[in-house]
Amino acid sequence: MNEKFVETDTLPNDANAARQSWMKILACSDPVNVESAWNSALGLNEVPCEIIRKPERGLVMVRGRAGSAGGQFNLGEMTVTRCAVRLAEGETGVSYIAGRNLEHALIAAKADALLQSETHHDKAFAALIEPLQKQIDDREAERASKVAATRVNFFTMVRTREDKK
Amino acid sequence: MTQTLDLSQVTPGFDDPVLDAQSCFRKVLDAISHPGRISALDVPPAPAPLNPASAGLALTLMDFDTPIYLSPALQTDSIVSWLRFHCSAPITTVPNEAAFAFLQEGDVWPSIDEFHPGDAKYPDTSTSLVIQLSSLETGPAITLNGPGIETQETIHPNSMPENFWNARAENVADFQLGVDCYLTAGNQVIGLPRTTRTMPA
Repeated sequence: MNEKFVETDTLPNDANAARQSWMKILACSDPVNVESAWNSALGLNEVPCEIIRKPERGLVMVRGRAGSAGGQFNLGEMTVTRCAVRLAEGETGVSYIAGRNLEHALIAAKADALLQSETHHDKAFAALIEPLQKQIDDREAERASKVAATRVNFFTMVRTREDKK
Repeated sequence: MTQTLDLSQVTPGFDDPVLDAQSCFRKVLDAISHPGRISALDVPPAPAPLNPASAGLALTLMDFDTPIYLSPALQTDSIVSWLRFHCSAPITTVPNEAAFAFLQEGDVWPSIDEFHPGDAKYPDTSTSLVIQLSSLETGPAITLNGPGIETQETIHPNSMPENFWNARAENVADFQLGVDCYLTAGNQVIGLPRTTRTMPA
């Protein structure tokens, strides 16, 4: 397969789509919001789990591709924190978080494991993902409205029929 | 394109990845600089039949730059997933491409010449063999001498293939090329760098 034309940023549409979407919400949320949602999710935050990879920080190389079809180039390195945990029932949760927040990565991994488990999914979704999704939407809406307030409209004079010919 | 990694069987690695890997590294360094001396590594259990000492070598020395060859008995899904998860190491089926090769007692091993001997400019690129045995203390005696050994040292690895010592002697005769070996059993490891000369006692 020609590596050059492999789409790497397609939207999830397979069996993993739901998991990808909650992992994204957990990763993109503000760490403060994640922690407060976790701490208030009583009963969930006490489910025992085995840590198979302690939260650890590292660098990943972010790669870009000019015009989405050009050759790959290294855009730069970013700090990433990752973690993996397993519940007693066997579900394994994984997280990759931008930044250096160990607690955020641990919570996101535990949440990922809980969300995969049939017994905990609904409760975890309501307690964690829904409020975090709302906070992300609010944050985006606020940003959009701030941006909208400074919008400058450029008007183009409509040509007359004579100009057009 | 993307390979999925089955995490359902992966067991934890070092409790403290930095400090535990450092102390393990020190012990491995002692083992390889004093050929024949047995070092005991303190490593959490890995998926069988990978023994703790081999697992410790993997967690300490291997990463995404070191392709790993596995002999047939070690090519289980749980071992492959464990190595890929903890070491991020690629798994290869070509002995010559491997930086490390895990060989299990009882398997048919590739001939020692099939592994990478290093090249004259970079002898350090040779394959290191991690040989898993049932015991390092109950087999026939092998006498060692060479750098790192004051007079001579004797080891008793169990069930080594008959022709192994001759093949190894030929392999390392091309010094500075040649493969380094680690003999492991349980949590014990013996280092056999390419400089060590062996004689069946």
